[in-house]
Amino acid sequence: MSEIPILKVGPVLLVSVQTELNDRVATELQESLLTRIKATGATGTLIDITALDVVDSFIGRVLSETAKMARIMDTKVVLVGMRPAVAITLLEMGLDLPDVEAEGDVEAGLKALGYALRELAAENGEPTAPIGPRHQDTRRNGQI
Amino acid sequence: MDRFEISTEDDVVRARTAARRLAENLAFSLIDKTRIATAVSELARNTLVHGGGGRMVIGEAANGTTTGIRCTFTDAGPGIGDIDQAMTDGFTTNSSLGHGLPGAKRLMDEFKVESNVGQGTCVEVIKWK
Repeated sequence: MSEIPILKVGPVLLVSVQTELNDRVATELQESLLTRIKATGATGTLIDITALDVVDSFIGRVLSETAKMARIMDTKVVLVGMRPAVAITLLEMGLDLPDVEAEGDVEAGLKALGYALRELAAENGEPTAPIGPRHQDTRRNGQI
Repeated sequence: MDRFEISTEDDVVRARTAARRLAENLAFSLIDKTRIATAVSELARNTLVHGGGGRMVIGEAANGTTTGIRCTFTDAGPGIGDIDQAMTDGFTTNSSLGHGLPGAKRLMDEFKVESNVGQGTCVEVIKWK
């Protein structure tokens, strides 16, 4: 079982890596993720790596392989939040993460998977519209 | 000079965290900090996986008025038979991608590797500011 939580939001799995990734944790995440994809029939997976300040060749390979394996299982993986310095370093090392689609943030990643947050909420059976009066009031008062 | 034993995967993480911290203290740029931490991660993993464990010595380097970071990785593993081949992109003796040595070389300013088969390997890298 991976130390990193895998959240299910409708047909999408969401993983946010918030810890230092050693090789074992990275490999375990790959296994857990593929198991969850199989178990849930998820159509898309978002991996958020905003918190990672190092992506070396091993972590890069695990991410790239995970995306490739997921695609064989008919699931699209989108990597979001890669820091510019991390992207520059990977390219300088001669790695370009084949098979990985990347987007800037979670919202753009969801769009790339063909979903908006509202659609996901609807799939989960949550009310989507209209927004209740209490929320509207709060927003108008600028208290959010 | 600080010395780090490299015998577990967590030691690899500790080594790159220490390198990043030293780079921060020496006021390296954000991108250089990332280059240094990434190169150290590659080399520390090589020490662990190919060298069977070893140690990293990390400290400040000086050349006239220029400061830098020097990291030396030493193991007593099987050694590298053909260094030129090991420096080739994509060459690997195990399941890794073979980007460790050549990748680290590209990220640093100076790169030196000495290896004797059956005795071990020593890799020294420097990044100047």
